[in-house]
Amino acid sequence: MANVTNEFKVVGKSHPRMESADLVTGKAKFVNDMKAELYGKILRSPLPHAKIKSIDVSKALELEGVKAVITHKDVPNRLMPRANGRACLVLEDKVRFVGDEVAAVAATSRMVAEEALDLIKVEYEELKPVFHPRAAAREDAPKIYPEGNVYGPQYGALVEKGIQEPGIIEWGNVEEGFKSADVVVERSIESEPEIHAPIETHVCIAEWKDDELKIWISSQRPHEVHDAVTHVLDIPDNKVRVFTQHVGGGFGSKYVERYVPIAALLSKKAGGQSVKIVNTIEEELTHVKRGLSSITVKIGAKKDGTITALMLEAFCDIGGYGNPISGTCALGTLGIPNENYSAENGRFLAWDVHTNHFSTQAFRSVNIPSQCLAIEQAIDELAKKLNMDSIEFRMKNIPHTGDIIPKKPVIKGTSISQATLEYYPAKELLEDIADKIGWKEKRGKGFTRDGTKKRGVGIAYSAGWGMAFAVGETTMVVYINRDGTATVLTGTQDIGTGSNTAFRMIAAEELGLEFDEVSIKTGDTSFTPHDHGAIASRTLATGGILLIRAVQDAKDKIRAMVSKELGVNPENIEVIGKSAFDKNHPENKIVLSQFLESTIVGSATGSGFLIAKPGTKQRQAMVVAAEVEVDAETGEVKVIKMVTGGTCGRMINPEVVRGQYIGGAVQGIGEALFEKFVFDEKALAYKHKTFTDYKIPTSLDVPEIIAAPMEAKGKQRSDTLPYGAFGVGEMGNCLMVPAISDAIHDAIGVRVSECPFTPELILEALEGKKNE
Amino acid sequence: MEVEAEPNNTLAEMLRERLLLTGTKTGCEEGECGACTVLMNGRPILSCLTLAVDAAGKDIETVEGLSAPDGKLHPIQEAFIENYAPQCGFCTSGMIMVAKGLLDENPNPSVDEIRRAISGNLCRCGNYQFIIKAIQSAAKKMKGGNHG
Repeated sequence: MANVTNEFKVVGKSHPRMESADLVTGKAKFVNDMKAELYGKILRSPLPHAKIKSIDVSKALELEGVKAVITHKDVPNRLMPRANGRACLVLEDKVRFVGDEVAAVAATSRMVAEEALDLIKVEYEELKPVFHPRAAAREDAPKIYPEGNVYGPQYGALVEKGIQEPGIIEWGNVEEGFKSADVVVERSIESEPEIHAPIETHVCIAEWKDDELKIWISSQRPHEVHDAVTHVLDIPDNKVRVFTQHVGGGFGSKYVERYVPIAALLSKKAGGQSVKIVNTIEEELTHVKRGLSSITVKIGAKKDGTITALMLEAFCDIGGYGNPISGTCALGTLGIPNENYSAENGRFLAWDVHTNHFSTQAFRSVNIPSQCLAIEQAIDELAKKLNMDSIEFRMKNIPHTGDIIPKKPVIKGTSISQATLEYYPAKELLEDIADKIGWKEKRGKGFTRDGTKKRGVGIAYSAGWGMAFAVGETTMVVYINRDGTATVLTGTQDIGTGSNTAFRMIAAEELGLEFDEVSIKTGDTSFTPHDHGAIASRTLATGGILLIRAVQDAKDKIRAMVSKELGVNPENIEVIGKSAFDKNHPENKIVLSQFLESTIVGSATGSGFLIAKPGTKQRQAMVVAAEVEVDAETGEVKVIKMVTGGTCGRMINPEVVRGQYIGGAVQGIGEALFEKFVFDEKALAYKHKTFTDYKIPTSLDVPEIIAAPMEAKGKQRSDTLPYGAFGVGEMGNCLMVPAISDAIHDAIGVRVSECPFTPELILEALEGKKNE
Repeated sequence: MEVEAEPNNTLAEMLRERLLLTGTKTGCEEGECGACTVLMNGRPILSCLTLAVDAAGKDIETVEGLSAPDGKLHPIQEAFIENYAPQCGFCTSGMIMVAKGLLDENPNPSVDEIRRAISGNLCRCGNYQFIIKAIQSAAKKMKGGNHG
């Protein structure tokens, strides 16, 4: 990092999201605000696992107003990618969960479409279902795929491997590590699925004009939608345009899904008329989820508190089609959280297992909450056994800037390797958050209120990501207009995180322009450059650093153009504030508006692989502290206070960063306490189909949350992150579950091993403690 | 304004599909998320659960009606922008209408009163504390002023 003496002019000063004015006036358009000629509805499977023996759609086709019906017989024999996951056909003659797509109808009204679904007759051959990933991973389990249910770790997009092996990361010698330990703790936890539940449900519109397909969609990844549709329908890239509008929340749910090519095929059958498919709330709450994780962790430590070995084994439910990013990927590709603590020896195993539940898709911070629930419970228990304060114990084992992690070379698992940690002030952060919750005064000194209400404080720590994303090359483009103002072109999608605003701020900073002198164009794949989309907290980090490079590219072109006119070598020319001038003699300058005759285009392409510095590793530390009140009579848990923060580097737009931490905390409180996935295995029905049953937090359920992100000091420029700024979208969501679990333990002395921590589980745990 | 409606049309459908006032959003369409909140005779109601015919003869106010004809924003709208109240913004219209209903009746609400007023409006982005701050700030802005 090289120091830059200049103060920032735009970056670091909070700016409301550029979309705000449209959102508060109702002018902002979402896809469902657009009209379509036809309504599409999907017939869904009533069975979790079955073969379709026959489908009769003749009655549906006879219904007045029905314009198209499709079944598995009408789809191309081409596999559809599921966000790098298990590929499937658009419709198949097999169903793998209750709610799986069977057929689809397009009709002139929603009512007619719904009526038509009732007229489709399907004969199923029932197959034995399996619902738990540990059961589904057994050799004798019912096979959801011919090659078995365990999804191989060595997958690539569109490639089915079916290897019965877990994803693995191993270094040192764990057996030796445990032998040399003075204390060993083993914990098992199970965290249930959580539903993304954006209030704007999934929606898309498809329309054909001649041989061009137009799609409007609420998506986090418009270019990925484009790529999937061109692939599965075998259409050239230039014949599909994907448009986006405002997106009403995604949280990892709005990737590529079958309903997009379904809408396209219906439209084609209906002569190109536009077809809109919009999920009902029931469909929304029962079609993608954060999967169930069943995790066992074992940690050994010396008397002095040094961790000698760390072992974790996870079985992750990826559902019928899945998305492996929820399981093995979280360990293998991202190398987290096996790097949380500097253990000499470690082994992390994760099995991604298909079950007959609906699919798992990355949900804000993927599987970190469950992995950290297991790890942090064990850490606290170890500290207790060693008579150490759990923060003191963590301090002994958390890596710091410049440390090489893992401590020994990786012997199994190809996706991570030893590297030096760049900027990682995790210990300072832990201290700061502990201070802010009042750790020293409150920990272990819980008091009882009203006879039954007990207070406690807890803390949790983890490493996180938010740097340029490893895979998925992205291009950022900037136009320097003839008057020196600028326009940014990006193919990613702002899903409420403020990325459009941040990109404008970065371009303004780099070009010495006012915020309003930079505009941004997005939302149409036909002219925006290819982008991997708003996933994995990558948008700002990847897009931001590429945007800085794109501006440099444009500036280099201008430098070359004005060099002769200024009589100065290009390297001595600065382009800032709508002019180009001699760095050494600023008075020797050219005003761009008097010189440029056409748009100057700058661009940069890259991915995390190309951006990262070899031999170094970027991680962002996260810490959350919670104070809870547990009613020992009712089992109810209330969060009284919560402090959340991360080592986020630079904050481009500080108030928006705080919003991400706070919003993530609210979702995490829901995950920890209220959001209950319920499947009735006898009735073969999901019971959490409305917001009454699936209770996401309201304004009454959450306290005022203190966001305390720790900014990097000094005005630094980084080669790999925009001004050193990490993405923070997911970071705030990682640790609510383990922090609340720790606080519950501090309050009532029991560790609940299942999440969410419902009143029933708390009472059960208290009862168990009584019986001990 | 006179509009014809089918007996089974909801107010939300009429506003969005007939009058093209799409500022009112429909989320769950079951009366649980609050995104479709509009004011009927000054009181917040769920337009997805209200039949269009029941709106006959009543004053219906939607988010589109808040700013002045010249485009000047209502203080609640200003406060929502200044306090970073919208994240994805899908719940924003409903939140703003609830805020209007509250502040018209109670110009000085406490934080608890605000929390209760918006408790039927879900924000999955979890931005409640920014929304609460915005409503507090709007209350201050509206003091003494006459804002429809």
